[in-house]
Amino acid sequence: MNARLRQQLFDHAEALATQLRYEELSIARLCELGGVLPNVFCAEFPDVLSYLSALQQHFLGEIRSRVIKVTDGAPLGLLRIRLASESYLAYCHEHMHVRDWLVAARRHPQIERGLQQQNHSYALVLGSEFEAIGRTDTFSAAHLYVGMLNEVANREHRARAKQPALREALWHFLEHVGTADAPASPQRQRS
Amino acid sequence: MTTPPFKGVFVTQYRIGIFPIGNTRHMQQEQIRVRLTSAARRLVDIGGARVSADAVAQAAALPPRAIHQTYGGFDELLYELLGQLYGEARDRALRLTANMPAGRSRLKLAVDGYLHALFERPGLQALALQLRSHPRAIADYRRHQHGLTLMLEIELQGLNWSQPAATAQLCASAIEGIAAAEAAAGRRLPELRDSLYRYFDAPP
Repeated sequence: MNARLRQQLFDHAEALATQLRYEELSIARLCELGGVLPNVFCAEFPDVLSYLSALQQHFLGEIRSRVIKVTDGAPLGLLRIRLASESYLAYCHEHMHVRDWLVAARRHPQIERGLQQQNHSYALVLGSEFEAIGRTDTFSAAHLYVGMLNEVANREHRARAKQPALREALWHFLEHVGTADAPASPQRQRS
Repeated sequence: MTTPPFKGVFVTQYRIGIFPIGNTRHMQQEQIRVRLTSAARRLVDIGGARVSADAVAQAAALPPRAIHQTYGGFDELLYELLGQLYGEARDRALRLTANMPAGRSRLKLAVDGYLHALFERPGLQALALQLRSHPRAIADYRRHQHGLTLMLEIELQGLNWSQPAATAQLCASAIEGIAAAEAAAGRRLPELRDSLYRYFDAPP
């Protein structure tokens, strides 16, 4: 398969995913709807899982590109993180049918691993952003924030719509996490 | 007795001074359930979720068919165990804070108690991970998460938090994330917990 055909399969994935539920995924159906010959498809992706894994990497790569583009030139700070988060949520919403596939495919370890790697690298990037704006507990704060961002994405995904209250709560967390010098865990307070 | 207490069991007489026959059968069934879930729990806590039905039946000293007869299938037994473990963790958090006045300290202690309880049940995360793509486990998990969310929401409302319901949803997910990270690391991660507890000190 040449790069153009591969790209075509990824670019049309959202359209394919609107017509094909995860349970119906097969090489034959993908080729039929994507206009690719099965032998050409199989030369690149020996099975559906390989295709989904490559699609996941494409999906995540597209999000990264969009976030970089949107935040380009934005000054360091909460606004930039919020802008990046909104781009992430918007991309997830625009590609909700591909996301349906990817969510359903999480039962496969390689898809789950791809997601974990993405979350880890988001947390690292965000951790350094937090550090640069003087937050404490930067990696932990970033880890929690990324988890919450995904929760918003998941709930919006299930609702098929923006959830303004959840986003407000997320921005509140962003504004305040890692800002307090204060206290330790309840145990230590009690002792 | 006019009404059979359990489907398929028609009780016509009492055993003298004890229970109706139907209740005795029910008790036996209950004992079998307890033996099976206890055995499954022991095995899952020791060796993770990849436990077989035969191994559970053997550990419970029951024939393998007992699982099917009691639960209808092995997955059903695992769902019940998962629900039991989540329930224990939630009850522990509630017990720990039962006599405390509402406020940030109670909120933090409840979350900490809950996380401790999850950490002390290593089988829980393994089981949740293994069953997470099963529709019933997903529904059970959402129900469980809803319970945790409600508990948090009540506390946050008491603190006049803006968006208490939405914040509770996000915090419940963060708590599950911390629990999963601790289970994967095999140790408590106080830095993650503290980061969340410190957030609870933020202006509402």
